[in-house]
Amino acid sequence: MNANDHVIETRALSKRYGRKLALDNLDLRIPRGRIHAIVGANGAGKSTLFRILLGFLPPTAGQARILGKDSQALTPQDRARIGFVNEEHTLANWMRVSQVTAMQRRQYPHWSQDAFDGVIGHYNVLPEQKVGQLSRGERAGLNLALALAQGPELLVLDEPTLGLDVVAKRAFLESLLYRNAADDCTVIYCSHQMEEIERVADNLIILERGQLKNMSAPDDFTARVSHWVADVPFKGPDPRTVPGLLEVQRLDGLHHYLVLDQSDGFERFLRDAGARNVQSMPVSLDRAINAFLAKNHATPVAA
Amino acid sequence: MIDLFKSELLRFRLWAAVAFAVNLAVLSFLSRMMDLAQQPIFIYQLFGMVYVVAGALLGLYQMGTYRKPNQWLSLLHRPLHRLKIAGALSGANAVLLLVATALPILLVCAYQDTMTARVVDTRHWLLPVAAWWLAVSGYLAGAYAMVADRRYSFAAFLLPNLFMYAEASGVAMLGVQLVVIVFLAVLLAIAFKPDPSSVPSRNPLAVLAVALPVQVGAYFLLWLLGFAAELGWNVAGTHPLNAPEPPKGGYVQAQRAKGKDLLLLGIQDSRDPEAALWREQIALSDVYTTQPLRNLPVRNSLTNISPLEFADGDNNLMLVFSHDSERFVTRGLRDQRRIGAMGVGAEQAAFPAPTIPHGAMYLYNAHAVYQYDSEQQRMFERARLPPGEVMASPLEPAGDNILMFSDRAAYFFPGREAMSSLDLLKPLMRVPMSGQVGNLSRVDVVELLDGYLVSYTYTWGVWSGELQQPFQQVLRVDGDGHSREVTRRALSMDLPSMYTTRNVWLSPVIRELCLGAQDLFAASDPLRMKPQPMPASILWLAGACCLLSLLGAVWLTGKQAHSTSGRWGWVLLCGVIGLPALASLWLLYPMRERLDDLRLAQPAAA
Repeated sequence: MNANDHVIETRALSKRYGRKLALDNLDLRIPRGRIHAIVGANGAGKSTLFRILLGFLPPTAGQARILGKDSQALTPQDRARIGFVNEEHTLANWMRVSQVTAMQRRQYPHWSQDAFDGVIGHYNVLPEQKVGQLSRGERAGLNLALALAQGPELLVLDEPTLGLDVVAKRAFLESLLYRNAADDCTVIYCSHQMEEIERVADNLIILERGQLKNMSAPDDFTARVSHWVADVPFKGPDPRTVPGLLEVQRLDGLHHYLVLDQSDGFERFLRDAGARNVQSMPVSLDRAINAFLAKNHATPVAA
Repeated sequence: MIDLFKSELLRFRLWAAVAFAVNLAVLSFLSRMMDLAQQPIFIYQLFGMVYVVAGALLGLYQMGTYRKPNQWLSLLHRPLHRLKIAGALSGANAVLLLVATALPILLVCAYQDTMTARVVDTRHWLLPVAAWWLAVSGYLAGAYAMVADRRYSFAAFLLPNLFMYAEASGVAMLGVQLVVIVFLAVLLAIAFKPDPSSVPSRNPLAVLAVALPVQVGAYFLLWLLGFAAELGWNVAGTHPLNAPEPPKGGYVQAQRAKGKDLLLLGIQDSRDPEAALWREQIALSDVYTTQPLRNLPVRNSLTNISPLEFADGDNNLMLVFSHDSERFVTRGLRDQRRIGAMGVGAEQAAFPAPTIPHGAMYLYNAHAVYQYDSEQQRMFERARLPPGEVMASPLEPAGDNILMFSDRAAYFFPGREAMSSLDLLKPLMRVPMSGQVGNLSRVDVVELLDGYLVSYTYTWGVWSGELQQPFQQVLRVDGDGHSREVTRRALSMDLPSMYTTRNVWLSPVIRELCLGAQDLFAASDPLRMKPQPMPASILWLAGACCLLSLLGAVWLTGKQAHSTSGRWGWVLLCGVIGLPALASLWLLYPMRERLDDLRLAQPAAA
């Protein structure tokens, strides 16, 4: 796989803000095509990564390339190949929908009116409406329509459904999936909404404290996480000794363990620790990711 | 690009319309009340400041809304060159400012020109352009302040301040405005990029352009900090201005002294045989004190030092000087109807320079003094300076005679003849000045039995570092006009020289730069003097500051991210410019981001 097969490629990418490290020696290669979801807790470095990739922030160390180009030297032509939708759906509030559309149409050489109409058709948006008068969901739809109509090779969606109600979220996802956007371009979908990730993502990328923690198909990641229920008398094993532990809970006298990368050997561990009865069950992607991200969540020293 | 341009027009069109309406309403109201073409300079300055502030607020607001991270990304992440985007945004606002500032002035100009008998010269038609460019300069400063790194970007607001101090006038002043606008546009173009906080590293000229206002800002800030010393002297009660008695033999005493006292101080050590007699005469006689002019009206200047007009109520006449016709244009005082024009003498000759009323009787310009005779309704030339000399003070009474100053000498004219005729007066005597008129702060004259005792006090600029040797000179002028020096008394500065010259030793280069900017495109002004050379001790202090700055730059650049040539370029710059350059180096470049120290400091992730 050569460099051009990766839409995003970072090598030892680091970014420091004062005494905090937002990106820590990040090596990330995202192949061309499909929908890639990037998840991570707040502060995991997702926004910093996008800002560096689009040339809006210099890295402290390392390299970042997007569509094979140095991210710090993108030309206007390069930018035409990259669509970006952010969570605020920043559009000119004072303009009418038709005016915004006309402006974008003239600016982007590969403008696809079909793509625009196909997406905007999911929303009750009139051309004469002012952008400032649109609901948040309608703004999101218009923004997605504009981004897809640009005909980008890479479309970055940075938490596009943040703050949308259930109906608007569904409309957004349907318009994205209905267009088969991934057929024409690579989509990077950054979100905290696991049901969305589950629905759209072909590839799951997990960032934590600026480091790459996982890159695989969502099902593969889910398969790495297992849920064990053990009937252990008294306290059970010291959590520090539990291999691959992500989360432990005691419910109705039973110990619930969420563990990473553990096979049947984990049952032996539990039985050795005194468990009288052990059961294993699959976990949802939502629960697996939440447990994974919560593992290293900062806690006060006294806790 | 045109779409973004139209988008910005659309965005602020209502604001522009409201600003246009308010501006037009205010100007129209004032125009009904007064002649807006004949206002003193502070009125124009007031309007100018409003336009600059309005432009600055627009720039701050517009770019402030775009500068939010997501907005900035949306604005610049598009297939348009960054300069085209900047051009579209700033171009649209320039057009809106044209509507809000220039158009109302243009309409009021047209109203005054076509519907009133007021004088509207060519220079007045340039006022809309000046107002527009003032607003645009404010806009660009505000836009740059918001776009670039705010650690230093607000220094751009210093640039429009140049208009307050610039010596240029008329079209030359428009040239100064254009230079400021171009410079600010270059700054905005440099900063208008995806990562605006980064200082350009490859183009040394761009680095210098960004650094210059920061250095000038640091220079003024350091200079202002010096006033803390004055505050301390005030608190301690030792400040010469606040002491119950000013220091003897000093600047403050010479400034405050009454004419008699100053003349007595001037001759207190005189061993002249007549000195005792003079002291008696000074005690008994009137002493006439005059301060020289600091400015003269300049042809085609956009503004006026003071209104170039006066009224002749007896004849129902209003006389207004026209720069275009070089004569006074007359109109009816009551009916406001145009009557004609009035030049000098019977032949109605043109005035050689813009002429301004002085007191109740006279008018003056750079070359001569005139008198308007109400009975004949005619202008008479009363006193004329020799070629090569310019007016420093028009006719003032001095005992039986009257006194006039040029930039080189004092002229005494016969008072009786001045009152009894309207002829051109011939000077009785000429008393040359030994110092520069630009340093002259006052002239005190007492009439003796046969001649005059004249005191020249040279203290102007002593606290701004322009004058290093203030002194008082007393001359004895006999009845035939022969003058001789009686005493020459050196005056002390009252404040430490290191304090008054801090504008030099902080950075001699920036001081020269500021003086150069002040005189940009300006014609030479004979009433202003070039600063005197600094004492050697001050030059050594300036050199020490530059050396300190150079060493500081060696240390500081070691902690910042620079290329080798960039680093030593900055070290050299700090060595040449001094402390302001070091301050700008600190403000422009953050400390180098390193990872090794951070990794050591952070606990390993669990």
